[in-house]
Amino acid sequence: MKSILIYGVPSKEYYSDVKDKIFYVAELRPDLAGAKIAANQLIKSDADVTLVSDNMIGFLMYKGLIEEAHVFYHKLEYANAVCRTGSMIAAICAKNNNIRLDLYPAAEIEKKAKSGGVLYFNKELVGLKNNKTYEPQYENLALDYASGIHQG
Amino acid sequence: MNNIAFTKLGWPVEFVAKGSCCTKSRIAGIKDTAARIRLEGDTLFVLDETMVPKKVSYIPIKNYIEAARAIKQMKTRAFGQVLVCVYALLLTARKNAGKPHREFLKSLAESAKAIEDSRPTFPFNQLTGMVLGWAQAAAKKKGPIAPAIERNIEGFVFGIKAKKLERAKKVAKLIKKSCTILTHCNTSGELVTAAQIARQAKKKLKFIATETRPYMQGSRLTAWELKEAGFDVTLIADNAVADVMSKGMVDIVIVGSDRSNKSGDIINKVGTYQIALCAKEFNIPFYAMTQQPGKDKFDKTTYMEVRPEEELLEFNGKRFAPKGVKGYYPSFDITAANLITETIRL
Repeated sequence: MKSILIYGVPSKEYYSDVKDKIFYVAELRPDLAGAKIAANQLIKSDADVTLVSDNMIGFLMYKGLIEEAHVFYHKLEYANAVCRTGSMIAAICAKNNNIRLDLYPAAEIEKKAKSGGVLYFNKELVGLKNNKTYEPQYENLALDYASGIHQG
Repeated sequence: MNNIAFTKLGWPVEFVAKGSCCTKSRIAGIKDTAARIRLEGDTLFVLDETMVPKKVSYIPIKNYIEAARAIKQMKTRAFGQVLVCVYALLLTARKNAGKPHREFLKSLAESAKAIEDSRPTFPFNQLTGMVLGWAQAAAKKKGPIAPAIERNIEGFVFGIKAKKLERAKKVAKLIKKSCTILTHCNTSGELVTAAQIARQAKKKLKFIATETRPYMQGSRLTAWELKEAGFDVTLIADNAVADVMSKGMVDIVIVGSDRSNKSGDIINKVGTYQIALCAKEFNIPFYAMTQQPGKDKFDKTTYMEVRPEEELLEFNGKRFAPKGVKGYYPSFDITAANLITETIRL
């Protein structure tokens, strides 16, 4: 069975073809959209789902646990795709481990994560309440990183 | 350091000279954050790192079983677990003082095994082997073993702290006049020491700390330590590393390591490898603080500790992941030497 990394939240159509595949889903801090939405939808579609934290992508690829990376875009611009922050890491890791990365349409743009989100985990304060944070929800991923771009 | 002899592994054997330059393991004006460990009588008090920064509290440990449990549960980690390992063996030595040598050595070996098994990726066998070596040497001389171990552990701990200070000074030299440093996980206060030395040299520093899921060493320990020491620190999710690098917000990366080898590869908290790849992609220097290198080769077959999936799928005992979803939590990853600009060895 093919093993696929999921980075982002897929659009509805993606879930129609998820049988006979193994999915590793990045949780997507700070709002955990990967854990709470993507993983949830995949499980409801009877897929085999394993959750990982966003910092495990490189290791999964290095160990040969991932055959393909699927990253989900919100918008395609001239030379970039607007994707969830962390997509660049997935792309750089895929490039260095010779793993195919494909872009797929994401679910409609989610509400912007509340500021201070990274200070909390699942609504519980983790560190110092007044610590400075930097929390970009999206980033521009150069289309050069992608082997394939699937339109909606 | 002139009066300290070193074993093959580089650990100080016996510290006998008092009043030498080596009695200094601190620099004036450098503040320590909470001590990881203190020994009071026959009880070891170990900082519970899972509670920081909400609470600075200490777990009392009276024997090697409690020590191994604290290590396994990651109540202590990194340099804290090094100290817990050696002091736990000291507690065993004290409990067995006066017993016949054969019995003494057997008890010590049992304690050593329990600690080695607590977290298999960490090279505890280097530490336990060192202590068992002292014990065997004392037994061979037909002298009392417990005092020999006590003396050598005192020298070891003092020496290792002095070496860490020297390493922090080298790290401080790497930092330019004005620098934003990205770091991952937690270096048990050593990065803070390096930063304080750099600040004394009038360097202007800022930090970006990754939160370091799932244990959150970055949010809970690193950001706290740096803020306590008066540094500007910004917390980011692990997934924002490439973003900050691509925007020119990072000058250098400095990380610690749990293990290293003679080829210059390191094993460190999971997430380090992908940070190194990103640093290479964006031409950002990547530095790693290392210890005495081991002989092992690191590759895809190297055993990496895998933590229980609940530690990923739950937070403070509450599951947030949907039912039916599995979790995978490799604790460490490997960063090859070709991704590292320079290692700063202990």
